[in-house]
Amino acid sequence: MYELLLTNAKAVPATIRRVAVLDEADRHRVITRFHGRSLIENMRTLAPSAVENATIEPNGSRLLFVNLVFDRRGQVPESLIHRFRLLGAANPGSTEATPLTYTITPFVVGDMRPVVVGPPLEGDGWVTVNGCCELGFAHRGSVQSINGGLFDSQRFAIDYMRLDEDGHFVTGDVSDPENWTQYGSEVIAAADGTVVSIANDFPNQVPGLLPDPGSFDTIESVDGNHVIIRFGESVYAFYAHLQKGSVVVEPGDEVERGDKLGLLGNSGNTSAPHLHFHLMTGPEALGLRRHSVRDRLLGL
Amino acid sequence: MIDSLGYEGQVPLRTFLESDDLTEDFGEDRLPEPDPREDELPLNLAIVGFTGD
Repeated sequence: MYELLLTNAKAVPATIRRVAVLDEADRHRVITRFHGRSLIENMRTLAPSAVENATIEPNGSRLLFVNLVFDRRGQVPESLIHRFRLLGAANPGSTEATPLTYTITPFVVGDMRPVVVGPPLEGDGWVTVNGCCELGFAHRGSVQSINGGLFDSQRFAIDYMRLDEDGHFVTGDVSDPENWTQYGSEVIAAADGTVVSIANDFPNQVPGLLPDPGSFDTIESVDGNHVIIRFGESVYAFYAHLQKGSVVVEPGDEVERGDKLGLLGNSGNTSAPHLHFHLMTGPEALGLRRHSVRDRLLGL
Repeated sequence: MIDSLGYEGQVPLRTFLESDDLTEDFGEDRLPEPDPREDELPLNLAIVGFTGD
């Protein structure tokens, strides 16, 4: 999974007609194509919002979300490249769009393997909310502008919520966090590691609505009470939205798989109690690439 | 990916998307017994259990 950042730096509108993802070593081998409906469905504004067409206004940008699926690892190319067919300005002085073809934006896939860890929770009935991979859910497409770059750090993140035996997330007054099945569940270490950072003092939000964005003055406050653990070389785990005062570890603590870290809560930018969990390549929750397979945001 | 989990079914997409407050019954497609899985990233709206440890 990765995203292509498409920017029209010319003075006339550019219309993307076709995008082909090719094996760079064998450019006759087409991995996938986007055109017509598939192009529109996988293109978003930076917000991100759905688009009605594949035309990019002057000085405008779009994101093209790419998911590639292979039956066997041996089918995965070492490197990809992208062939664009479009109508656009051929040079800075052009006043009208003309047909153009570019084969650009190489992307080295490499042989990086997905990281495997244990679960961050215990028990049954956990639901993978906002999980991989469709657009339209909160994480895939949650591209953030941080420190001068665009990052899709949450593309593999999961919000865990829990069903009770009757299939309910919540029973009774939805504004009471205690009425949610998952509220107060123990959050555990998914592997042996070292605690890097925590937060433990943010209040619970009232379920039912997302809080006022103006109430968050730092990235950390968006995450609410959280724990970040280093599991290994460039592998960090992020647990967010824990209950105030429930975090039982401190930076520098060594933890073993299954150790209790805190309690599932509803702090930070959240509309219902849940555990946000994702792995990442560094100790910053949002301004980094999500860790699972080689991925990056590519500029056109 | 998670090294060991039990796949317990799927929350119906339409029921989830059309819900205003998540008070509905989302368990209609829950399996009678979990299907053991290894080294998987559970995908969107999967119901999973973590009972291996």
